[in-house]
Amino acid sequence: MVENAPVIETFRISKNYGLVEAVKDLTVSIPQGGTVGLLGPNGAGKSTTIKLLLGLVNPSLGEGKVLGMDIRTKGLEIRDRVGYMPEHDCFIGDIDAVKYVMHLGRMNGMSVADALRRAHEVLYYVGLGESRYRKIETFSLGMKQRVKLAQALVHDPELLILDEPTTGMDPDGRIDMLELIKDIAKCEDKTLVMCSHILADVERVCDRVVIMNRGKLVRTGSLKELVEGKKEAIILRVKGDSNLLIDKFEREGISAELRDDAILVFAGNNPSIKKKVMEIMAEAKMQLRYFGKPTASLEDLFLSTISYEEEAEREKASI
Amino acid sequence: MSIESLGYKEWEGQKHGRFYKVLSLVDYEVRHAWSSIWVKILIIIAWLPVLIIFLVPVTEISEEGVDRAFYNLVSFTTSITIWLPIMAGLIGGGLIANDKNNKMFSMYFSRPLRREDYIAGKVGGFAVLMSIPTIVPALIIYIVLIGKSDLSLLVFIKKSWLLGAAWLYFILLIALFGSLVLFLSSVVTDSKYAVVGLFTIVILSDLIANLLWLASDNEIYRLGSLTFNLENILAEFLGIDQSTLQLADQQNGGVGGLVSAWKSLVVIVGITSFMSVLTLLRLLSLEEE
Repeated sequence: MVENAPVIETFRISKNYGLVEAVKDLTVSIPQGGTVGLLGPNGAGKSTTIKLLLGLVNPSLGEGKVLGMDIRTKGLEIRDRVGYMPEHDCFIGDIDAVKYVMHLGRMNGMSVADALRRAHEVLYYVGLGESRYRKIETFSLGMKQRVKLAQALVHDPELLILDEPTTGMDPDGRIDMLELIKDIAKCEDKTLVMCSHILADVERVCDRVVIMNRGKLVRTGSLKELVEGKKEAIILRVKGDSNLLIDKFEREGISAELRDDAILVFAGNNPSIKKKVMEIMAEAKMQLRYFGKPTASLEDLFLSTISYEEEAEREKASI
Repeated sequence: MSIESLGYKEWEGQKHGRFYKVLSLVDYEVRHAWSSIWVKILIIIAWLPVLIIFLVPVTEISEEGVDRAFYNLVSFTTSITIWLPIMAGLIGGGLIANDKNNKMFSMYFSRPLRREDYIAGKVGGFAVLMSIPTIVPALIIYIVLIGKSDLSLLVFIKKSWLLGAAWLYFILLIALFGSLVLFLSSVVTDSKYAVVGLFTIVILSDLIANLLWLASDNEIYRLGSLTFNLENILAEFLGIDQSTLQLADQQNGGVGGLVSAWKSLVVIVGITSFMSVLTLLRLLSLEEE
């Protein structure tokens, strides 16, 4: 891989299944290192995005690279260097954890000796050292999640894609799993992509997020920047030309800028800023769609982003 | 994180190519099937003729009676035809169905494993397992015949075509039942249905073909029966005198005319090829989950 090149880079990729557009115009760039949260409601296109990144399906349009390799032509090479932990259970129930992880290691091309040694190693690492000779069908849900993580790690991948890694785990198990994820992310050459519905988990381990809805990218960036960096500001969403409104604010001496699809108005310590903003908007005869403080938690950010998107879609549909 | 964990350890090692992955899959399938008690029982039953050969003295057989000695090999080959569909169902029924049921496709195909290699691994595993009660014991029977008899080695060399014919017949059987059972396994999620499906095909093909043949007196309908075709091919391969079969057939009220074994061979090869293509297309189009 080229030094400092993004681990994942897509340019306007789309994937259609018949008339259904599972992913639309997705452009993202994920740098090497750290953990990225891939968020979105059901049907947002997360699973299709994972399949695209793994080179399992070809995009209908657009280009993409994972670890510097083309997702259209280098699927096998990509999967050789990527570890994938699926959301659902996928086990051969009547064999023990060591045999299972070893078998999948061999499917990555590892020799019997290497795969066996590594299976023991990763099962110890995920906390199943004592249970590694037990049949998987006797495992609890949490233990099964750990086996899935172990099999994803067996070939020591550079990129790890974790789909709902904490699903079905009890609180202690969940914390353990998140600690494991944080520990893996400490390895400089490893990048983790974590899909999760549990936003608290994402907030706890991820340093970047990619939010998708209806197959589209709706927000991406550093979690810190998205969640914490805008607390002393007002966020506005209007119907009409946002740039025109920003010009009006600037003329009145109010600092504002366009962020994604919203206008960020920097309030500073000025208590009368809200009134002033409303006056300018009334003067500009612009319809206000959203007025509020920038979100202070990932959950707020997620909900406001998704609800805004939903509203915009409804409006578009009604037109 | 577990208390005994010393943190994440990186791994550096050599990775092997696609042929190794296919072999790994074959190895896994053989070991996994072997863990089933039913597979073990069926294989032991299939090996019984071999054990009998060990016990029966054959040294007194003269050169004139050499065909009788080789009859052991012929009778083994014939008897295995009955066991093979059962074994094929038991071994092959779950090969793909279990992976579908366990959602293992997403585990296999999120790795650098081509679908063709997955299919090759499954077919290879099936072929190895099926050769245990067929190809291997046939060879052992032949070797035992050499070891236990006082016939000259030349006689055995002269008769070695029988072993080759038996092997060829087994390969044909394994390919036919393999293609049928793997296709059935790829369309169901419970291996039981694949087994039932295979038996249904074998029994129904026999039943319908025989009914049509009896109703019309036209021999051509017999080609619809899998068992008839196999028996016909076996008789041709092993050089069994077909006139006795013809006579027996007439005595049983049949018309007594036998269909050419080559026609039967074309039917069996045709079915095998068709089912193999269907299985391949089915697996290549399956989703990972």
